[in-house]
Amino acid sequence: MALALTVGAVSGCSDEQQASQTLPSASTSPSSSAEALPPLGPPDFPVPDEARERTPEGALEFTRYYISLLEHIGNGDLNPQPLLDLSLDCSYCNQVASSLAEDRAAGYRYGDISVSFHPYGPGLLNGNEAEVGFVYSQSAFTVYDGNGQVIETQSASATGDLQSGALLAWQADLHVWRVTSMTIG
Amino acid sequence: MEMTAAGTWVASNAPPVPQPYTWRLVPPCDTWTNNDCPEDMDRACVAAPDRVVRFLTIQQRRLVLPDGTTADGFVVDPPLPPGTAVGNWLTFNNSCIDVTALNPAPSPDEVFRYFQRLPLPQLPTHQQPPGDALVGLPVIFFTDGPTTQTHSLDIRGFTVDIVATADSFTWHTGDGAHLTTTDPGAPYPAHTITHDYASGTYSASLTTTWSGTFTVDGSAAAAVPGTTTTEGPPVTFTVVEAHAVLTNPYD
Repeated sequence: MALALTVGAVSGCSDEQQASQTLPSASTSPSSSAEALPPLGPPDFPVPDEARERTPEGALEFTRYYISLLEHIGNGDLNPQPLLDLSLDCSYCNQVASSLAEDRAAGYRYGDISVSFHPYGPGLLNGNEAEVGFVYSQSAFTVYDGNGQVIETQSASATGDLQSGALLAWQADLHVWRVTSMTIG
Repeated sequence: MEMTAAGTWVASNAPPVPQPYTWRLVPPCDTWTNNDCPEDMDRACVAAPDRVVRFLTIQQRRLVLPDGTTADGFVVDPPLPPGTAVGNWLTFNNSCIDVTALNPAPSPDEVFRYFQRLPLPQLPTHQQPPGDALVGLPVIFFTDGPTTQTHSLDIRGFTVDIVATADSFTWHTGDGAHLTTTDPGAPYPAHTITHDYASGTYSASLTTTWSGTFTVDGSAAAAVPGTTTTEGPPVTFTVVEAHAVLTNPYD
């Protein structure tokens, strides 16, 4: 299930060697390069400052944020608009957003899910584009209808490790990356 | 196989060179969203009748090499087995590609080329009254040929069933008028298609426009992307003036 692959929590990456393992809290002071940046993402889950840097590390943190945004939406109201706002002509992102919207309209909710995100390393920059490679895995995934009944056809088993990647494009006016392509598995 | 400097081929049992990439072909507009696929991404390609050539996006994805690296130095950490696909699918090029050897299922455009060559009926024109007609009395036109046809084809091993349907009828009245209808007409008194003539001799005929749907190996039906026409044989008739003739009322 494509939808199941993209909803879930980003767990702590114990093997992560370089980038921060947690997202900064809302109280973190912005870096000098991120001063006065317009907030992006859901108000309760904004894009963190370190994910708004046009650097290899910034590309990595943005990809980490985007994956965790999927979890945030899946555990919340299933409104996929932030995913679309932070992507550009990303067919996979659009498929995920469409699935979320359909489930939301049907009154579904998602059970607990755990997702791991293990990046290969910092992003690979090429001009205003970046590529980030990572390993994604997801636990078994359960979908419930409005009456709390399990929808077997929508639920999925654990995926195991999936070699994955994301392509990003830098949007200078907003000082943020946007996902242009994603491969899961 | 290897080619020597002298230009000759040499066979050996050496293992093949590790492939740095895996490849796939996707329809270009599949990578665009919001129905904003540019027109130059949806184009027709020139192809010989026995070839299948399509405009496709070529994408590549890195494979881990035997030494644990990738062809372009993309970092893979932790190390993965050789041959593992890593990273994102990357667009290599958009081009017309001969995919005949891959034997893809017939595309709608390919089915349409066959549709255009189907032996569809050349529907005849019937007019009433039979024989000569009269000025002031409209001539009735209709056709009674089959307006639905089913053809089953073998296209490169795929069973393609086409249902052709007569969509419209263009009646060439022979006096410069062309009447287009969506029904085949009917004889008197259920007639629906008529034309008024001045006196003279006329040759009328019917052009039938056909549309269709098709299935591939029992798939869901899809519309054939286009129409074709057939020309029916002409009919010739004369329209005469009726004149009053005085007769002896007592005869």
